[in-house]
Amino acid sequence: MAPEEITEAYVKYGPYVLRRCRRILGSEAAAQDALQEAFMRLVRRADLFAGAESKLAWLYRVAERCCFDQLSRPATRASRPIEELRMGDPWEPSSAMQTEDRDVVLKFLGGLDAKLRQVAVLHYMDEMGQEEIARAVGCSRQTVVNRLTAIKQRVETFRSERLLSVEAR
Amino acid sequence: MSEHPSRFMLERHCVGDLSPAERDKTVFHLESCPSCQVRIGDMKEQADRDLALAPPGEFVTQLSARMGREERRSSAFRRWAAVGVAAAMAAAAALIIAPRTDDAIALRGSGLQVHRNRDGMAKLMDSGDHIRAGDALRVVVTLPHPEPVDVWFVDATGRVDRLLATGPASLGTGERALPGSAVVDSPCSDMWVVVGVGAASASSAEAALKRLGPGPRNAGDDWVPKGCLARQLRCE
Repeated sequence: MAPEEITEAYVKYGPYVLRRCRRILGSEAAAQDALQEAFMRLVRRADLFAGAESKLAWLYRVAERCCFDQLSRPATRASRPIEELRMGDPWEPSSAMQTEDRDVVLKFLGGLDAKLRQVAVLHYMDEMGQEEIARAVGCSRQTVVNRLTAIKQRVETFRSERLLSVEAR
Repeated sequence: MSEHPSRFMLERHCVGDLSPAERDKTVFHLESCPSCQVRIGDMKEQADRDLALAPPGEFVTQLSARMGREERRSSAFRRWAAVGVAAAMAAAAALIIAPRTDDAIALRGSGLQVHRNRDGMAKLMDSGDHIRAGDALRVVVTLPHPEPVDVWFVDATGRVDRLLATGPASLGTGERALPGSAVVDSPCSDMWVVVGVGAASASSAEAALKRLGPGPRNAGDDWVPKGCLARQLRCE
């Protein structure tokens, strides 16, 4: 891939990919690192990128894998206080409750299995509805509903545990 | 009005990634939806800001450097693997204890960043930015693994100042922000930020910097102590 092609891809998609990495990782330096890794994979698999139906979606999936690799390292998980996730680019939440759900989901995103994580990202980050997620993932709408329910349960468990730990103090 | 497009669809619209049918549908919605128009405007504005912070030239240079480093590491490994297990283990041990060269310092992501605070406005410095007296400078170093980091400022008069970390400030994997900024003296002269990675080389590196004395530092890196890298900060 020629440098000018990389430049062109970076100018077009780089800021959006970076923003996504920021949301997942909650740290500017870690997001920059993930962005570089994603573009390294792009350069190495330029043929796949060129053939992708949606180039942004392709880059997002690659960047997410880079982010989740980072999140799977214990040091990264431990260093992400929930308040930190509110930094960076502003979100446009549809309700305060949804913002809180999203922040909680992002907190334990790295700990979800791949299927739940994919649905969580599409719902909480891309704001996709159930039908749109079903099309993107290639599963039934009922499967999406089940997975979102499982994620919600995790959110509730997380909240209860946090409440208990606050009361214990 | 039709249902709002998801954030993902709006982002795809911003980069021209939609199919003709999707684009028509989105444009039709946007024509009658002020809130989505605002969202699109915000997304593009944020993208412009991010591009200004990390310009394409700088990004491609960093990317090439990182790919080069990984390629060299990978080819070195392949060479040693051919020699045999015992020889490869000896080589690995030698790599661990060998003094670092500039090239061997592994920085990740944005690597070495210098932030400048001038009149209350913080800015990530790029190659076109200058410093002047009164500017506060902050250094952020990103490493693949947590390691001790030392940062010195060296100026053309030979003065060496060590930027001290005042406490734990881990911001992410391997990232160390050095709290407490350095303020540029008056009168200002060109300076170099020198970064040393690993505790072992810190004292020898500082001694080597103090031996430099006054004089211009050339673009070549001959004066930079082993195990360190340097970045020039030009004075206005």
